[in-house]
Amino acid sequence: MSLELLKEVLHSGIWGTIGPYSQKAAEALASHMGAKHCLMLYSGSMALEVALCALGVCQGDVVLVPASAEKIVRLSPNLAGAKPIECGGEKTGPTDIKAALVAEPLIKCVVLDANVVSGLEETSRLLSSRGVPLIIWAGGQVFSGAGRTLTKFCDFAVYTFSEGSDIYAGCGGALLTDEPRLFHIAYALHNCGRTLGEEASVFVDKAVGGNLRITEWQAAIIYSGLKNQSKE
Amino acid sequence: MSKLAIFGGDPVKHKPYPGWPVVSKRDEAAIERAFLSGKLCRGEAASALERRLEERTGTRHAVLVSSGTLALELILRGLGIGYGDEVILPPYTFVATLSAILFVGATPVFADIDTETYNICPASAESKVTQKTRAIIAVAVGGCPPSIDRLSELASRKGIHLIIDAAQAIGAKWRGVDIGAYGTAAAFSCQNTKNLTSGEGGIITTNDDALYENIRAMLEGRHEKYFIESCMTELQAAVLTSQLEKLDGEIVTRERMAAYLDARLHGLPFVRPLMREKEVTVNAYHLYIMRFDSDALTDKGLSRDIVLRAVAAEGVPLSAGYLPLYSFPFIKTEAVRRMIGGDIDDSPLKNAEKAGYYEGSWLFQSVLLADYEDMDDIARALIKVWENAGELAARSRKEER
Repeated sequence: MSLELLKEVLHSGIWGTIGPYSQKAAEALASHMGAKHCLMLYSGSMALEVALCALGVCQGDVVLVPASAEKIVRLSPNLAGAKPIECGGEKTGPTDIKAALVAEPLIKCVVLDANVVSGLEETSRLLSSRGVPLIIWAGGQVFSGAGRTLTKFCDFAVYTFSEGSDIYAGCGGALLTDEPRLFHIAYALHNCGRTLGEEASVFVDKAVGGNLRITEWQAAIIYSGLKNQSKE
Repeated sequence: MSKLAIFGGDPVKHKPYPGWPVVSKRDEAAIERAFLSGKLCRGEAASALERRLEERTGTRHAVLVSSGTLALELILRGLGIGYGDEVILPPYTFVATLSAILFVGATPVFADIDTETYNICPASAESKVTQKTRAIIAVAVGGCPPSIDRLSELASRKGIHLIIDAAQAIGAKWRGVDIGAYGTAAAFSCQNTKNLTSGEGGIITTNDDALYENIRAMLEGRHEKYFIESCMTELQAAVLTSQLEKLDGEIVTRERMAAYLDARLHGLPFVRPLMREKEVTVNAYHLYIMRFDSDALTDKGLSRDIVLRAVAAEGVPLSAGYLPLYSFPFIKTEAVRRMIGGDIDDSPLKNAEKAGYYEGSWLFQSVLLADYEDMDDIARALIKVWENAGELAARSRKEER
């Protein structure tokens, strides 16, 4: 199925710049995950960078990350100019987060790795009560593990489609959120500051953007993977 | 009845200009081969293309990445440029040149452009150098190399980096040498409209071994501070390799058609092509940029934008192009202020103002892949609009009222 879609992409002449498969993949993934909004990006690390910037994380801020998270998660705050502070052990739970918030009261944001987290619901409630935004890295767990319905617990859930992921597209990332305001800011950030329709402009007048878009090649493979799974 | 198509007359051009990208059977075979290899990233197609681009540009290193924006960002991060540093750039360029600087937390400083080439003016760039300046990003606007000799000398004298934003300039040459070989590093874009495309994509070329190692480390998760997982996929590399086969032929065609169009525009009192410096041996012509004479237009009661609408109605896709980046609303927002820890100087620059608002206009590269008759139509449309300037001015004034 993927190869036929790739040939279709080739002959359409639309190989990038948010073509039809980028949109189809975003819709299919949002539906699969039970999220309101989904943005497809070139890679998981770019999705993390966009999520942090959309939440206003920047130079001088402090971001909490689990000590045992994947390297891509632990280093992600640096992409926004922020300083990562590590916490927790093999698993990171609400007690670790609470202690970190006491030790470092100016924490701007928390990035958790779904693979090394415990007590997610409680952690989510704790951070929400403190007004600290939460990003959850689900890695490549599109069909397996803790990947689904994460947006209920966080501001952004981030997925990757690189090697070892449930769907392998060479590279690729997705950002899911239930917040329309965050979605529109993230959209502008990943698309050179361009907005998604006029109605969104009210949200993005403070955003800068670069080209962090997914290609149609990647999006077609991801879309195909999601469709195949839903058939099964 | 009016002769002008904008008022219901018969347009000069009825058939469309060539579309882009041009797809061949070779592309299809390349995609199939890459997909069936099962290795969709960091495979043979990307590796082989990097070697080929090194050979083509005469550089020691070429790196394929996800976009031209990221290529610039990686160069800046790889050179350790960030918060507290200043980077000089021209305001007449795509927003990505600016956003790459902002993404690394550095402060962008705008230098004016040269009025004849629309590329960064070396004298203006020099006047913007301070103790905090770490680099100049010189953009090859429309695919035409900037003043490489003067900029290289300036960068060397001031001890700063010259980075070439060659996003639109694949195949361009200065003194017979590929533009990718100049400066500390160069960044190319392979976005869907570019002369060499894979939909999205970027290429970095450099002779700086330490920078190359830093960039590779960031892409492969070996860097101590950054993990930027954005190598170009095998599918993109396969398409690029296939598209590369026809690039040189297309460059020759674009240059030939541009020279012909230059000659057709020669002597017109209200518009002329941009000049290129004598050291530019190949202009990649991602854009064919022409300059309207705003004084001549004003004398006739016209503006560039009115003329562009009338020319477009004649079937010639001439567009207005860039506005100066310092005029973008987000420049003055709190978000940007926080990113770089201060303000961006958004003072208007004379030549950029003139180019952005009154004089600059473009034809897209695929127009230059058409034939001589199509080039004649461009000149015919411009002449027709000029010959009917009186009516155009009068009716435009009436519409405005």
